[in-house]
Amino acid sequence: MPDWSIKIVDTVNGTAFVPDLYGAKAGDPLQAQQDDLVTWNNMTNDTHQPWPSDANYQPKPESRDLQRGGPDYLSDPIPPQGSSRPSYDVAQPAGPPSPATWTVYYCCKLHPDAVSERGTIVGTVPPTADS
Amino acid sequence: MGDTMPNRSVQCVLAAAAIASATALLQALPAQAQWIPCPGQEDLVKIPELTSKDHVLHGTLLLYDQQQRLTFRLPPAKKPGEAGATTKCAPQYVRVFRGIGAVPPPPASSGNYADPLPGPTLRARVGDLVELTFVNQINPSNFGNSIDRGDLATGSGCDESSNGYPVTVPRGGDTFPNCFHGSSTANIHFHGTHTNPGSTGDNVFIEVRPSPRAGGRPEVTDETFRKSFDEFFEHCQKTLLPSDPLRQWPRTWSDLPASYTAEQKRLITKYDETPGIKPLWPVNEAQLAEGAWPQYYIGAYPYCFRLPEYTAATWPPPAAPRSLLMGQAPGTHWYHAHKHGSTSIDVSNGMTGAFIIEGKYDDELDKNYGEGWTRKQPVMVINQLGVTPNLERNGPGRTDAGESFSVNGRLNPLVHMKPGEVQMWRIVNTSFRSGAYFLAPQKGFQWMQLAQDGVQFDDANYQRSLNRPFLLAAGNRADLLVKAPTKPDPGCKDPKSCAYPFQVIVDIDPSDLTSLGPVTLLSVNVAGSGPEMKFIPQAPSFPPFLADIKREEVKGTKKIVFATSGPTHTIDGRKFSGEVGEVVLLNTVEEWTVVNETYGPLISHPFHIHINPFQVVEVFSPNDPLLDANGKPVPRIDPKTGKQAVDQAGNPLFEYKYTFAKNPLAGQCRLDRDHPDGWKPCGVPAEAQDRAWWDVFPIPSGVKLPDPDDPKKTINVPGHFKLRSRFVDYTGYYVIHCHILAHEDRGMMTIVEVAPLRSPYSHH
Repeated sequence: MPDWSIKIVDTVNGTAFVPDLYGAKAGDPLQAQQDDLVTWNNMTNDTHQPWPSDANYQPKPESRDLQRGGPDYLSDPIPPQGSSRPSYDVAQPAGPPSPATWTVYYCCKLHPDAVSERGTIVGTVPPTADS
Repeated sequence: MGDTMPNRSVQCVLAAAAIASATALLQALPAQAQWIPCPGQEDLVKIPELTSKDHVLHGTLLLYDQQQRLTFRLPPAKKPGEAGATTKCAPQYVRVFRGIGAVPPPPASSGNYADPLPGPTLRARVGDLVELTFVNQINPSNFGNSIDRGDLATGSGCDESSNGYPVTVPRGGDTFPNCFHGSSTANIHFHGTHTNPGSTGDNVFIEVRPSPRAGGRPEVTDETFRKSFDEFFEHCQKTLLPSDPLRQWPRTWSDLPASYTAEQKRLITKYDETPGIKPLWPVNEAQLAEGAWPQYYIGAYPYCFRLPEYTAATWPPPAAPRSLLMGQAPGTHWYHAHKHGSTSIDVSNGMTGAFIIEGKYDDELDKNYGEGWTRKQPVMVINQLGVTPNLERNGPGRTDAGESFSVNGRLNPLVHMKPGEVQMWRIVNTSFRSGAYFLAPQKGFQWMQLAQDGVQFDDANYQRSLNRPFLLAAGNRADLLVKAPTKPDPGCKDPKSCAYPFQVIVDIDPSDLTSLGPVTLLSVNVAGSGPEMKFIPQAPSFPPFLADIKREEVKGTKKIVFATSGPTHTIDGRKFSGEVGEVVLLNTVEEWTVVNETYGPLISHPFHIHINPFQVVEVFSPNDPLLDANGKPVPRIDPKTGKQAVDQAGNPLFEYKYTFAKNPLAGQCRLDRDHPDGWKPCGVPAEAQDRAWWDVFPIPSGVKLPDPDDPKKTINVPGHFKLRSRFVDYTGYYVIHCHILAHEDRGMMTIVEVAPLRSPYSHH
């Protein structure tokens, strides 16, 4: 199962999340399978913390699933030039029915109003049968 | 290999429509798809080499990270060899070894990402001095949570993921240091060398952290310590003389150049200023105060050790015990990362390479096949390339059945041979997990095995090896003479395009051989023309120091128990603690019974010991199936149905070779349930006849056999093998461990201390 990295970089439009892939741009979604691991690499001089949001990038309120150790917890605050911890295991949303494809919207918990500090992870369920 | 493709006619029909709509679609789709195109089949890659000159292997091994095109099998739960799996490729950050100045240069990649490649092949000769500068330039930020936080003053000290690793059982239950952690810190184990196990030798206790970075670039380069290391290597050459092979130097840190040790102190103390870090320098300081070799380094480390040459014409040598008793075996060895807690991840990233140590063995092969022949022969580094282990994942991620075998970084590469040609394949299984069981050669091909684990066969073993299947457990090596068919396959119309698959079964336990299908490790194309070659009629002459270890040489015995119970892997009931587990006196021979008390799932833990190889004198494999006269497993018949019994998963069951039943089937061996000491092999296993030398040997898994007095109950029968080894020439500390490296990282390792024999009393 793959691992993925998302860079946190300073751009002319502000700090942004960029999948660490050839040709990726700020704000591009990261495509991942269920149980791929995702980490964020903070290349800026500020602390950031990816945090799940709704589709309008409003940070989700604290909940049990969003506590450290919960399935939707993305990362502790990431210090400047540091990387995220724990790594995020792309979790399939609870059902029923459990979707085969879903989108994790997130923003920076420390800078929720910064429009550039938003990102998405598009999750899919890996094949389980001969198809 | 690669994405499933539509057939050509369908492709043509769809092409125009696809092109027409591509631009619009690209605007709507995410900029990056998850998967990238996989490479097509390629020729076996020639791995760059660092070669010794004037009896010195001098070079630099650079460790850094890059994004590579790695392969993944889907669905993840499909085991290698199971039908219905496809292969996809994705760009992944991995850590790699590269040799500065190694030749030929690595092949160019065909895409935006590099393709995997093992570390450079090291090539030296018995008697040579090894002088390697190791530089760690990994950027830890590219590896998420595994950023050397094992020494954080707070937290678990382990890699952590949102699935609960390392805390939540059964996903982990791991605790520091026996957990995955600190994968960007590294060292090098020179697997198969017989040399100084401490200081700058084959020392796996040191930990070299990545260079600090400034402006996005590593501050420590191969130039940073060049002057210091040149001074050290010069001193090393003058101290580790070929005529004094027992000398172990450097012994103390003050034997290293002051310019290096002072800079290391500065770098480490600066690192210790990082907020939240558990300081490292006090650890080094305490070790220095005890006269021990310090553990922590930053950026660079010099390795210097000799590959001792046994020069006496007989064994034991006339001047024993004050002269070399073992000597370095010439053959195919290897090297890999071996920092506790990250060995598995680093090895699966590709931090492995072949280490070929030449000697008279090669001279005699060259004399038979032509000058320089052995150096032209293929080196094949098998690996299971991957990233973070399953244990750090959840749900389907936990069912990933393991990576496919690559050879020199490619799946199913193509080897070219001429009809009737003989090649010597130096095969190294550097996989972190699985063994490769080599089935008999393809029709028309023949093979003979010259060496096991870098130690050549004597002639009797060599002659017995014709077309014999063999298992390369994780860590094993084989030198194999392979002869191509003299005539093309009549079914092949164009020899240039025909390839013969060489197949293996991916093996964790011998029980896999009956449940898994074969996979193609590589393919051979036979084309062109050339003279028919023959196998060398006799094995190269056998060095005297490899004489069989006789029973009367044995001065001590030990019983060592490997066991897996749930998520816990132990040796003698304990996880690795840094304490000495076994003590042996220098220059003594011991016989160890290495036991496997794993009863399910079946795992033949590959036992590995550093520094000294061993011979296997007994193998007891209680889960072996009972074979019929044709060598086929005998089905177990369900008395109720009269048909073959199946387990809960529906897998067919077979009779065991061993039984407690009072009325065994024909060919079964009866064990006495009340006398476990008498549970021994019946018949003589081939391994015990061969008396080959090994440094990795799979311990047969235990089994639960039915209790004859109560069919509802079972009795645990552990597997075992007995080894004999000469613990000679070098004192110090080294390790034994399971070569399923995730088990080692999680605690299945202990330390062997070889203590100098200093008698406290003399009656003379």
